[in-house]
Amino acid sequence: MKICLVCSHGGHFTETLQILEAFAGHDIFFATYYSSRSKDVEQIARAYFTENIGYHVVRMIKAFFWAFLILWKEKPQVIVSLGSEIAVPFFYWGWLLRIHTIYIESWCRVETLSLTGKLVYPVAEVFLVQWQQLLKACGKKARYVGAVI
Amino acid sequence: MILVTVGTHPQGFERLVRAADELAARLEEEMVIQYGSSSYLPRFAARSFDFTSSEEMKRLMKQARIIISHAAAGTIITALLLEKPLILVPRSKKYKESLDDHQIQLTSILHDENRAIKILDPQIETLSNAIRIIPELSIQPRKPNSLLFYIRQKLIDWEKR
Repeated sequence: MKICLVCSHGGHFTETLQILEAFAGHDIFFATYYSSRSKDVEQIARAYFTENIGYHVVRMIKAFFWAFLILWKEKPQVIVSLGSEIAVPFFYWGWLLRIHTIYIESWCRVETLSLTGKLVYPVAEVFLVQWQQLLKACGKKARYVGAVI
Repeated sequence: MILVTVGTHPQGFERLVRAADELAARLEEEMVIQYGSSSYLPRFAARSFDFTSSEEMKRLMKQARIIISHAAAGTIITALLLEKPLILVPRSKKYKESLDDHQIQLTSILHDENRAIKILDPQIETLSNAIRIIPELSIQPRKPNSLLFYIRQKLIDWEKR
């Protein structure tokens, strides 16, 4: 299957690296931020880059257009993300375009969901958390099936 | 060598950088401090810098005997994979080091699981105590990865449809 891995740079990318094995035999590509590790990303698979969104509303709106163009071109069957906010446009498009989605809340979230987690929860097909105690902060859809480490 | 790192956060982490640097003045062991956006500039550490490449950071982490870090997932995962003794000092919202206190929660659970030492109040004394008790800390390697198995299974299910 064709799988779109969405992640911001830094810790979220490091977490994504820990689950790469799960996609062996599948065609993967990245959608991520420009960073000092852009080359590391491209060594693993082809990648699309954009500027860091953060809490910037205009950049988030631009990211919705950017994400749509990538999804239209690549037509992946699955979108997977461990955060952060760069996942938001992809998961909403995934929901509208009926693409399977797996959101895994970052390992750094033990008791409270991230803002991205809260925004993505309603539209994610599979919503996973990496700590059992975080289930208390989520709706019924959330599941705990283990962690990246 | 003891490596101190505060990552690439836009906020500084003066409390940790200052305490680590003051400790460096008293320790015989070499200390390397990556101080990020902190306004306090280390004076006593053998080497200090604001940012560097991820390759260089990984090399320093491999070389280090002990890693003292803010509680960010990237650094912690790398340190655990390298099986390095880890002292975690979480960033706190109260001191404007972070937007929320999720680092405190992560540090507490890792401390309870015996995978890292927690220090909420970085001072010369608390840091040097932690360094002293490091040999007693049993670092657990990776847990069996049931998450990978779950994802793989999910993909197989979807592929069948």
